[in-house]
Amino acid sequence: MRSFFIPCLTLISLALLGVFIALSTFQKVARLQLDVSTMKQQVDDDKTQRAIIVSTLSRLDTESRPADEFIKEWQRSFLSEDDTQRILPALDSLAVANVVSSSDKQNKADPGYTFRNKIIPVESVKISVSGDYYRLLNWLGAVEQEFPLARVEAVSFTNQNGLKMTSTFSFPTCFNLPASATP
Amino acid sequence: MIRETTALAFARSFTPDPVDRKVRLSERFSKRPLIAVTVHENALEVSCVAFADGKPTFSETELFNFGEVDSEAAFIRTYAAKHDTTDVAINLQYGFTAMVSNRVKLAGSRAENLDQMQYNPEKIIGEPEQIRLKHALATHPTHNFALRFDFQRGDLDRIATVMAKANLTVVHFHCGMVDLINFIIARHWKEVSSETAFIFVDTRAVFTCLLEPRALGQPGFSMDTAAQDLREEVGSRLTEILRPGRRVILINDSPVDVAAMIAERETKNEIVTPLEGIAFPELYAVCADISDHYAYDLYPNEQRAKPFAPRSYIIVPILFWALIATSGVCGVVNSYRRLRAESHLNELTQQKNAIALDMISLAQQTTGIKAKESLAHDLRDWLALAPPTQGFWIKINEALRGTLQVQNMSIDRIPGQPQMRLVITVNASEREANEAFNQVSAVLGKEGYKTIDFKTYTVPNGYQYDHLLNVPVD
Repeated sequence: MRSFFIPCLTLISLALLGVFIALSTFQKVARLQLDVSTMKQQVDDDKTQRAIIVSTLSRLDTESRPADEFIKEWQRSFLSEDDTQRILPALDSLAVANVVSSSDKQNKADPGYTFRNKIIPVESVKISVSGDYYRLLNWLGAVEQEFPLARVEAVSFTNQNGLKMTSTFSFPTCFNLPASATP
Repeated sequence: MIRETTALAFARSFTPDPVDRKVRLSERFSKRPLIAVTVHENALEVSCVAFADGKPTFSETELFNFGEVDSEAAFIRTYAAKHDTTDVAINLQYGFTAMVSNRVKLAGSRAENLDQMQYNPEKIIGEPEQIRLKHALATHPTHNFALRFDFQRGDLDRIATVMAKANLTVVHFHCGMVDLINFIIARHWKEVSSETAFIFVDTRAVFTCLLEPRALGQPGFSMDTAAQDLREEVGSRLTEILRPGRRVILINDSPVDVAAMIAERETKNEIVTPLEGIAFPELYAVCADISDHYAYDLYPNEQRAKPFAPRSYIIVPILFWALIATSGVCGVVNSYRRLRAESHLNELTQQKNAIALDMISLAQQTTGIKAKESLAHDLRDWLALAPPTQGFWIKINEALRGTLQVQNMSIDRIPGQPQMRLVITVNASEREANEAFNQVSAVLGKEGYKTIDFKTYTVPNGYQYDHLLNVPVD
């Protein structure tokens, strides 16, 4: 009888091990089901959030339509940094076209230009043109028509040995359509 | 230990070892084939044994008379092979002496008796062990008397060798005569009155002895008697043992009508025939193996029996397989549930990832829309604070039209503010200058410019107009 004590103990231990493994599978399944439940809740929350965002986006899209139209109107006047190279030649061409002579041309990039507490990088151009008063105004008008976003920072007329108009323009180079937006 | 554990798990441990003499023959061979060999001095008889309800039954016997050397082993081997068995029970029918002993003292149980007779026989037989002999005992049920049968080890070794040559395992090696007396003592002792004559007769042997409630008488026997001498031998033994009125327990397995012979003697003996109708009563007693007090087995060599588990341990394999089966079922069910949950979780994870991608896309669209709105806002501000100046100068020019001479004029926007400073210097009289400056102010007011600061100065040859303005913002 004694010789069967260890086999009995072994069998019972094996059986209990089997029971333990079986119980652990219950725990694993319970944990997994809890994960599923949590994930389901998260997915439901995400779906709700997505629906809210879609709705908001739809509203924003509708509301931003005038802005789209507005940008579309001005989009062709936007200047990139590469475009700044053609400003001075364009001003000269306009001077020739309006029969005024240009001189003292200076241009420099001003990346720290502050406008209404916002930094708006600009290409600052200073140019002097001489000629008749009405031709100078025509040239100024032509420049403002060619570069409608150009801001006239200063204009000074002096009348010494002929009428001379010295103008300083700021050409904004930061107005670009964002990559993520399609007008 | 692994073998024992496996055997216990598959409930094989509950089957006793065929050579475990502590277990009755009927229990050891309830499901195993067994042959019984009755060994006479010059012949042997073989038959198959089967057990029904613990009682042995026998097939027809086959007789083999000893001939050439080892021919008996070949005969037994062939017989065993034909009946598909490897185990043999031996009923020894010759080669013993018998006497009454009053020194026999049995131990408490069959197991203890067998152990002591195997390893320490003097403790039971009450005399020093004789190496050449092995003993068998038929013990009185209430007193320390026993019929002690002594066998020559040489005879027993020879028989064991024959069985080994026949490739058989000896599982029970008994003397039929001893077992027959033990059977009567165990099952029919109530038939024993004050003096009872026990008479056994078969085709080759006559055995008699006196059974008493408090004693056993000296046995008388004749083995391997020729058939023609049997009747005479029986008569002789009856003369020795019969007394008027003495009860007779008769077991007759011979063609001789022993009961008639007793009746002829007119000694008015009452005859009891307890094993009437049972074929091979000696072999029956050997294979019935009923006594709790058997204290011998004649097998001369060592045989180690594997232990077997008690029936009460059956709960262990039942519990084991029940728990394993339950665990297995739980495992299978939970595997299925886990697979289903994992599949569901994967599906949900994919949905979540898809939604996250959607959200990123939506966030990009929202950022795009906000960026456009911001751009539009900045652009609007920029345009509002940078109106074209050509029209402004035309209006100023109209306001200054007259005889006065403009020396210079300028506008300077205040950086980052919707403000600008207008400065005009003219060569004119004070009245003309004031008039012109008033006209300029009027024009500016009409255009929506608001005055922040306004000054006029006297300069050489004229006057200077200095007006800080708020630019109108739409």
